[in-house]
Amino acid sequence: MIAGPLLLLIVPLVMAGVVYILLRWASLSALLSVGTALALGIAVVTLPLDQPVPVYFWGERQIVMGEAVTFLGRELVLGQADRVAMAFLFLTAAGLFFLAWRVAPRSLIFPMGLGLLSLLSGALLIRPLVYSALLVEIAAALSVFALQAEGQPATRGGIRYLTFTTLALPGVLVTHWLLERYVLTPDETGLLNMAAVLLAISFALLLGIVPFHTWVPAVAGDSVPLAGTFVLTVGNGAVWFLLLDFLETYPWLSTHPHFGSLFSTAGLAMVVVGGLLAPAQRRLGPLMGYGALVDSGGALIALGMHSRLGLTLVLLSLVVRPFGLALMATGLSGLRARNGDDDSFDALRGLGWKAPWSTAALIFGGLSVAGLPVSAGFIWRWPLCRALAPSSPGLALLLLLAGGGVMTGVWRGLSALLVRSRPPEGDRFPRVTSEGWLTAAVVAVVILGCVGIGLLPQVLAPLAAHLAETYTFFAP
Amino acid sequence: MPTLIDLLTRLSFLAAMPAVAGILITAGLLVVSRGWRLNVIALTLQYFFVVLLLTRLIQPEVAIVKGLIGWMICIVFYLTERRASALGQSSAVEGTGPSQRWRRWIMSARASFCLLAGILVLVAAYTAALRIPLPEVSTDVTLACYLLAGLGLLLVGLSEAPMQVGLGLLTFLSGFDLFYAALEPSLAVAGLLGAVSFLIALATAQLRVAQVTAGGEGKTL
Amino acid sequence: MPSLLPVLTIILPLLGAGGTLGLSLVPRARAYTRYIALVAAGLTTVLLLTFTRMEPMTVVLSLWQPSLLFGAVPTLTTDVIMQPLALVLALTTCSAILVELGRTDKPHPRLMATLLASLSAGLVALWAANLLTMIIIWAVYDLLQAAGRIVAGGSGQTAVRSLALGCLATLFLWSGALLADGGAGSESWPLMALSDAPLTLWAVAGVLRLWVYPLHFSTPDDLGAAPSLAAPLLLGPIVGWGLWLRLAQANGGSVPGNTWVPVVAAVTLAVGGFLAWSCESPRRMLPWIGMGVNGAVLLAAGLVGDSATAVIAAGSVAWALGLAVLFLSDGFQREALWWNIPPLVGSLALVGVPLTLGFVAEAVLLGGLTRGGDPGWGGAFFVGHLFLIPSLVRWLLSPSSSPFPRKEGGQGIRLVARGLGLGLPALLLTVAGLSPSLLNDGVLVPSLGSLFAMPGLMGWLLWAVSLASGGVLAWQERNLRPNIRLFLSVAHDLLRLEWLYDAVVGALGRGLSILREADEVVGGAGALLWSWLLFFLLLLVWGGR
Repeated sequence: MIAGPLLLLIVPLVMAGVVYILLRWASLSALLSVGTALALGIAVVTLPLDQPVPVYFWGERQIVMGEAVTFLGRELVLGQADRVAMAFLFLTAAGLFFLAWRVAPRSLIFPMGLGLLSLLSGALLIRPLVYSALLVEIAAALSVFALQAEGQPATRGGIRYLTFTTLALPGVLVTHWLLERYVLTPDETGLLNMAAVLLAISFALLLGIVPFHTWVPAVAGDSVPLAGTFVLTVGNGAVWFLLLDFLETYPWLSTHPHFGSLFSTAGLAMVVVGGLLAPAQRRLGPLMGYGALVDSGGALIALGMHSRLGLTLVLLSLVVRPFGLALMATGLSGLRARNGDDDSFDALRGLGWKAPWSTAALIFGGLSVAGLPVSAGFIWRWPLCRALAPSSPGLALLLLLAGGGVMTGVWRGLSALLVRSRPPEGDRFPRVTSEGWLTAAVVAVVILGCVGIGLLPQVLAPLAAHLAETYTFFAP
Repeated sequence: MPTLIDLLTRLSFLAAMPAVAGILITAGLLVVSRGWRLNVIALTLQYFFVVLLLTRLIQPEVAIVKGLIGWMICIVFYLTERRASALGQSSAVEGTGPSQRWRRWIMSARASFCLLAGILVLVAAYTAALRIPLPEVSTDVTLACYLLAGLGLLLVGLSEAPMQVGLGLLTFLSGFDLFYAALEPSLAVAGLLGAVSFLIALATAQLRVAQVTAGGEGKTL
Repeated sequence: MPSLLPVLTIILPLLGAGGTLGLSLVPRARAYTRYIALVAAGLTTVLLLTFTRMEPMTVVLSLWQPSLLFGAVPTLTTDVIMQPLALVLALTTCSAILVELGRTDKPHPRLMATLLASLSAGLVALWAANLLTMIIIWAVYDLLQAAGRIVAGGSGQTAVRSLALGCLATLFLWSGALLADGGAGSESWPLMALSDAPLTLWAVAGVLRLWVYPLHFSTPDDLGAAPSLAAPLLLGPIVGWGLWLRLAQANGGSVPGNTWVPVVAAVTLAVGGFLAWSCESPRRMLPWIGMGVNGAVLLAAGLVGDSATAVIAAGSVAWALGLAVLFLSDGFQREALWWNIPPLVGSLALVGVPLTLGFVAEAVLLGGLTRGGDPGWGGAFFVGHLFLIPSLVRWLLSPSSSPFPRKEGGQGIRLVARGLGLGLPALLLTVAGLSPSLLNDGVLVPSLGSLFAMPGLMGWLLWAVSLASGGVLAWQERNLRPNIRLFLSVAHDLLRLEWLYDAVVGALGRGLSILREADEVVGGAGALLWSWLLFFLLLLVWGGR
């Protein structure tokens, strides 16, 4: 009998090794990575939790997804809420691997990404939660290898991300001890307050909450773009689910009198900082990072609403965020590759004509990250603004402005990309680009997916609502 | 032949303020120095003193395993920096002759600033150790923890060079490990923390190699 | 089944766009892309004609769920008041393709595909039943318009600027939806009960969409060298007119912002006229002419009170058709003088000559000016027409940019196509001018007789003086222009406000650069220490409260 958690931990690790060996064959390694992530992502939601499923190609073995497993003396268990979280991680990773096949072939994102999936799965499945922080930290250390581009100077993004994640570790570990002590001495409520403070600081570091946000633009701007997106979506998503698990496990956290104001204030700070700094950027990479900051800030504001609706919006934001960031990263990769790894606006002048698909990816990715129509990001920003408007119209308008700020940065970049070096000829549009039909097809598929989700949110929104119901800390 | 545990037992008299002083000196050296040889030696000694203090809190065998992990990290750093030197693209300090290097190290404003900052951290750590004692550990271990954490943070904050940041993170983690070992004696946690430290070292080494290969120099103060 | 008609009307141009693009990939079949595009545009126009006599239909485009989250679903409603604009949009696209067919130039399949897609988006924008739908489709429309400008040879930066301003208009629309009580995003337009704040924000969005001065930076004055196929790109404000119709509908028949909207409209009329006349190249005049006429229609709507819906419905259609036929005519045809009739009709409609559709808005405007008694608006009217008329004359007499198709070697079909392309809009302008209620069936458009009576003696006098002065200026154009060329150039550049736009953008850039420098300090070396320093400062501030 193969336990589901073991499958989710071991298979990606093994495949990471295989993919690393086969890395020189770009398409094969990409195919294996996409296939592994896709298969596991589908399996985790389709296979039943409590019934054994025979594996016909592996002798008489059976898989039981919900069976608990002991790892290093700690229990790993796949619950109902964890399934969707796992699926999110694996399917997002599959999408990123698919894009990386064209824009970052033979990069370490494939083997490291699979390894990270294994670690992050373990982080979400392990009980007690304190060990999750250790696994997240190990994942952060591994991600440095993926973030560092080959032949390039040492990336600031990787070391910055590692630093902040390391600094977050003590808070979570000590919290576990404080809570264990509280069980023994329940009259010492100071222990709970201390635990709340430490947890808040730790998650502030992990989520990049202002003023600990400097790793976010560094990861986006000074690393391999898709690897940075992997960190900002899959890695960041795992941290979010970890936060929700903490709130579920320790209900007194969500009933803290300062919960709503703390999250709203933190979210507001991120939205303001991101909204102000995004249009000020002269490079596309940090622009993407500040866009991600605004998006995260919006999610924090949604959580600060202290309601099931807010939680649904948080989950929806996590699900749609990869569309925007992945497209922006794809555009960024394509433009950098044709420009000697330089993504400054001055250096990108006129490049849009030679790389139209990268430019298109940048536009639609930017729209999604900014939360503007017609994109995946709009489907969670619209209901968030709508929910905030009656009680906090100023906050809703600030969110809109911040989205406008992010988009202003994108328009500035686009303006540089579309500078014409000479008068247009012929039918005024160059026929031949340097991107190849296959890359164009991949980018077109993802753009269509982003726009499709933006027009048909009923594909994903009910999933988010259903997932929100599995969490009880905001139960009405 | 005496075992490692026997050696530690003989040196157990140092597992108090002398070890704290040793931690202060080694961590301070890490903050001030940019010479890789001196840094590796300082880190090695630092792990030694940390292991000494750990023997007061946990089983000596576990303390030794932590120390071994630390010394393996030092070997990784040593090998990495040797390769960097062999490639002839070491840091700015390394690029000069030995006598000039020594003279510059004495006179550089950066080193003076780092020394001053380190003294400030020392004062802050001492005050914190008196005002905010850590639970489950004695005052001298508290002081050691604060020193390691503070100087580690200072080292991380003062530089963007991968090696300096890596040293800073490891110093910080050592300080935390020293404290947390008293709270949570679980072997699983100890193992995972050791794995974390080792991976940080590997990541740092990888970035250092990338830095050297690309011909860039790390930003330092 | 009838409820599928709107969907079919939207899908047809998209299919046409896809077919055009697909066929263009086959070198031998590129010449036939025009026919695919024509069939799609033509069928769309015919379908729209069938709607005009049908009851309004409501179609849900996508069932957004859960409803608790979104509050609304993208919905279309084929309101009667929108039908004329929808028909005009389709007809203009169809005419552009017909005229394109009538030329010997090689085809422009990408431009045709973009325009067809833009037609679909424009129809959805006009039929948007609620704010959610409008917000979504405006974004699509802006992207397609920008793509069209780029494909037509316009400047990339101008296209991006129009995108940015369109995005700004969308944000204003969204902001208004947030501030409206009771969730205006979900309600249909006629059912909305609104306060001043959202109406004002939507009015600003509408002003941005109409290229009203001084927010006119989206005006496509860089399409001088574009083929005549690009005519629909000049009609970007049509979705703005759709919004103004909705606003008038929701505001009890009058336009919101009646204190400031007439002021900006009057300024637009005056400045638009001058910018058109002072333009160096005749081929770049048309967008400014369009801007001036937009100002006139908006001013009329602002002055008329509760009958603004009718004024906007008629005036916007006249603006669109007049501008389109001028752009399609491509200058003076010496070889066959009767080909100059359609652009002449278009010019007359733009000026608001009686018996053209433009007369509806013009008569109402004159009546409003004389009743209101404000000399400022009257002055703006005079200045606007003083310069619009010689500009139109200049356009009509400007030489054509491409040779006229000859009646030889089977070129007859080209002439027929060109004739249809130019003739249909002109015919509509004339027929609707003779019977204004024909086009605007569901809107109470005044009869021709009451329109004649509306201006009163002073109004007719003002109009006559403006026309006469404009005529004199047109007559003396040839003598005057060479002497004041430099002055005109300077005045044009000054009033165009590009310098102001650059200054504001530059100032914003410098302001933002301060933030960027601060960010580079905080996020550069020592980022960790900065982070902790800021954190402790925030703790001190929060703890001190």
